[in-house]
Amino acid sequence: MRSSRPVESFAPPLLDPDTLRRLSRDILDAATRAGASFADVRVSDKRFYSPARVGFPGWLEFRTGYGLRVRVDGRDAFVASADVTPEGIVRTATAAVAIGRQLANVAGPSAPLARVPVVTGEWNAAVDIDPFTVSPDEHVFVMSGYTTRRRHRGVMTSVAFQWESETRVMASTEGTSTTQRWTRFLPFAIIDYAHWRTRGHMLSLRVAPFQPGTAGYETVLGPERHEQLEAVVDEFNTLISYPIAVAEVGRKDVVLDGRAHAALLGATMVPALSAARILGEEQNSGGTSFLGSIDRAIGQQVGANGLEMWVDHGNTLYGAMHWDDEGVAAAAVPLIRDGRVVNVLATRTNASAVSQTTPPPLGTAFSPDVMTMPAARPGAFVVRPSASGGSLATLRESLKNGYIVRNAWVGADQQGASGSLYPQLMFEVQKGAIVRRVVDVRLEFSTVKLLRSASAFGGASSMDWDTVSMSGGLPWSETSHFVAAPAVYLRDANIASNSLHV
Amino acid sequence: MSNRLSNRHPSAVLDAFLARRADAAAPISSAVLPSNRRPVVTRDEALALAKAVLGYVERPTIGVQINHRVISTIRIVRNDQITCAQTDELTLNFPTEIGSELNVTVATNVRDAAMLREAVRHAEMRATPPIRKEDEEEDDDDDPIHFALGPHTYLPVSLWHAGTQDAMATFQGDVIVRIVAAMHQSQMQCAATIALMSRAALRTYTLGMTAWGEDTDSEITVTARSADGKASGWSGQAARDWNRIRPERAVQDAITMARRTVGAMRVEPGRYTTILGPAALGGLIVKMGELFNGRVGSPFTYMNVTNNHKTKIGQRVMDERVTMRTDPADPAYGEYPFFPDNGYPSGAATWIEKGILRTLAYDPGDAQDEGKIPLKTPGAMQMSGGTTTIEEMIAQCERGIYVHRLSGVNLIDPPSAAMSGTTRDGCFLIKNGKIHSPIVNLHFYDSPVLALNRLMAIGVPERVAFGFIELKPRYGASDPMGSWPVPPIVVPPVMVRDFNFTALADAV
Repeated sequence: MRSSRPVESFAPPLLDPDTLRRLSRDILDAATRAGASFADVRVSDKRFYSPARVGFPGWLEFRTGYGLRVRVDGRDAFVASADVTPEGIVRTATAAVAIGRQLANVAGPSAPLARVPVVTGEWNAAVDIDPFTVSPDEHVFVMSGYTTRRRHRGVMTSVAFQWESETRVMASTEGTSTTQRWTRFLPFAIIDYAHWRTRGHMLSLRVAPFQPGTAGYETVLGPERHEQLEAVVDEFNTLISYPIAVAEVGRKDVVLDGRAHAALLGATMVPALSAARILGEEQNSGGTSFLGSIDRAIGQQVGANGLEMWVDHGNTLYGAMHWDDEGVAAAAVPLIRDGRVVNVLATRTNASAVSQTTPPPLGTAFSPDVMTMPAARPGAFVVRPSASGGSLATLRESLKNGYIVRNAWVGADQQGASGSLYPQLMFEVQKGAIVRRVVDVRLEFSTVKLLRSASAFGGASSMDWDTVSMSGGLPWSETSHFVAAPAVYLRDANIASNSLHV
Repeated sequence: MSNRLSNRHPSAVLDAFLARRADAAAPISSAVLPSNRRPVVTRDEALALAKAVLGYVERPTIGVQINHRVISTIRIVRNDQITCAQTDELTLNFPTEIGSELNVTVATNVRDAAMLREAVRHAEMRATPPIRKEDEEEDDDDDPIHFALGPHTYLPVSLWHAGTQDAMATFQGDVIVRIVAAMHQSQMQCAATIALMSRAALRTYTLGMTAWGEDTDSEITVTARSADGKASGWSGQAARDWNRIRPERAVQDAITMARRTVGAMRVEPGRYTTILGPAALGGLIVKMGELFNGRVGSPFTYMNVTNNHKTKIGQRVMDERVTMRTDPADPAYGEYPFFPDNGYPSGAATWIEKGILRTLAYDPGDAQDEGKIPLKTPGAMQMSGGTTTIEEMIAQCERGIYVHRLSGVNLIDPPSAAMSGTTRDGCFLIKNGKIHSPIVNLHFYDSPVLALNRLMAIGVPERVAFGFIELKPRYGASDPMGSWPVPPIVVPPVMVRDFNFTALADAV
């Protein structure tokens, strides 16, 4: 799509907040009249835009919809629809209540909803330049400026941006009504290299400064962005120029960069800390949790001292919100401190099953789309860097004989208890210096054993991030999450061969 | 533009369509709804809607895609905690097939007539000015797009089953009661998901191409776990016709499997003769689709490249007992999407025939140059089988492992087709032709292509249920399906030599 008009001119205007609030009241009124004892609803109007680039089609999408959750005779039902006509609202509410009544004949009562304060208010994410006010031509021009072909060695940068803009209203029959407006940035920015030397494997390094966030178009502007990109390209060219060898299997000390560390925690701890998994609500889909029962989960030592992991709804992080999708203030929530689990991720519907005497903190419920029920899947997890920790280079220099991993993908079992880490780029280090790049190996681990082997965490300069997906909920859906973590030094990691020879 | 719109806009067509759709909404709400209430648009409604929309589009290479999907889900957790959810989504996409590098799609879900009219207006606005690269020629008749978007002949596809439509129109209270009763009797912690879907899709362009498909699908999956969390079993059934599903049987099979996994012992990882049940093999086959990607510029995979830069077409890549094909018109299984995004009627494709690679997936441009039929990478897959039962395979096995199901399967290395994952919900050691004991779950790292070269026995194919699992591949584009249902994967149980288990998995 090429035009000098702003992107928003190719889509209908967003519904104004007053209209969305009115819709939410109409929906709740319809649910109450139909017989619901409790109802909450999320109403949304949103749009996506991804500029076209070579080999990838552009996409502009605008969506409106709502998801209504009702409790009838102690049972929960959920119906989602995009029909905002008065007749459609009544039909949706009637359907939801009818389902709930039917369930009362066959189902046990749902757990009582955790009590939360009634809140009302509005919040707008801070955005300087709305990306939808920018023209497609400029989007393509700016994005293309970051995409260059480095013919030397076959190195190429690939950059793509996706923008989301949404107005979301959450309201309940308890009186809560929140209106939030945000713009989110989802970048794809990598340096990659595919050559016959790599036997068709594509090596890549993510351009870390282009990170997902709640931000406007200003985040992709500025000369510093090009400088950051150039720095990553230079580093990548250096990394792929090392001689290649097959790594030795066995136990070695390994330094994971921030992204590999984030990938590891995202595949293991992030799903394991979900109360829904611990309580068995996801046992028929994603799985359960290696933390076992709720009684065993809280206080369990899962990592080394110094491992500190939080849910963070900070204003610029991906998934930033002022209230969650159950109307609870979205505060930062500590999950792991000094390597011990201190909280799990719960919602109003399962908080009482976690603990009736010490309820877990709420404020992490999120619907990836309003047409799904909220689940405890917050947008961003942050592992705090060590106050005294050094850079990635510092950790590497402390390696006498081991490996350093730059970027990785992690596959874990259905409980997050064990798995394998597949390095994107892995290097042998001797006496603190890289000597060669190694291939055909993976790092096999038992989660707790590996995390507890950490002997040092990097400082703020070693922070990097990865996006991980969590799945589950009803209707089943996948959500993307941002995980930020520092580099980490792991002792005696198990290096295994990827050879398939029989 | 708006004047022209208001003068020519067939509001009667749009309004009638929306009224019809509104009347068909919320089928699960009551047991007294007529069972013949169709949840999704009919072909005539979709064509009328598309015609109304395309009437305002000037450029012939802008099309409209109409997708309508209704899914009803019943989730049971902790034996009797039940929640029902229903979603009804009608979306319109306006793809622009101009050239090969500036495709843009405008999409919207349809909330009301005003939204529909806005979508039409914006489709028209996008038609002017011309959307093309500066150096691109206008109306190049040799552009393969004209070939792809012209009229074609489609084989009739009948994947719609009234049994599923009826099930969506009535609350499955009796079924739920029986399932819950069985779960309580088991004294295990059980969870189940029943999902029902109806779907319709239309692709049409003014150049003449019109592709239509509709289907229904249904599935039940059940997981049973012991109270101590140390034993777990699973069962699933999938069929396009809900009347072929036996929910109570699925519950009993999951409970039986869970009981059989009590007391799991540890075994040394390594290479074993392995019997992969249909669910386990299906977990590998469902990840193979992108291996058949033959498009220029696509990542290297086991199938699409050799050392001398050629594909493996014509070479033996698996045991001669293996044939893999996709047939969108198969009434029992079929495929989804019914046709590629560009709508070309690819028809049935035989990917592997008696172990020999026969074809890869090509986009219209490459296909026209190569003299081949455009094909999308397969989502569904039907694999040939034999007659050996699982019991017979076990009896033939001196020492091996039976795997009921896999979890977390991912394609790690496309050039070697290596995959990794974990066994789940039923893993057993075989000794001297008999099941010896349940064993702790294992991680694996192996290639299904290489494994099917080490084929020892093959059984009767059946469609595999997947439930709600992540399908997004690590390599390549995101899976167009996203979540559920998984396109039909029909595979047999197989016994293979030297399957590679790399480590014990701590998970149950």
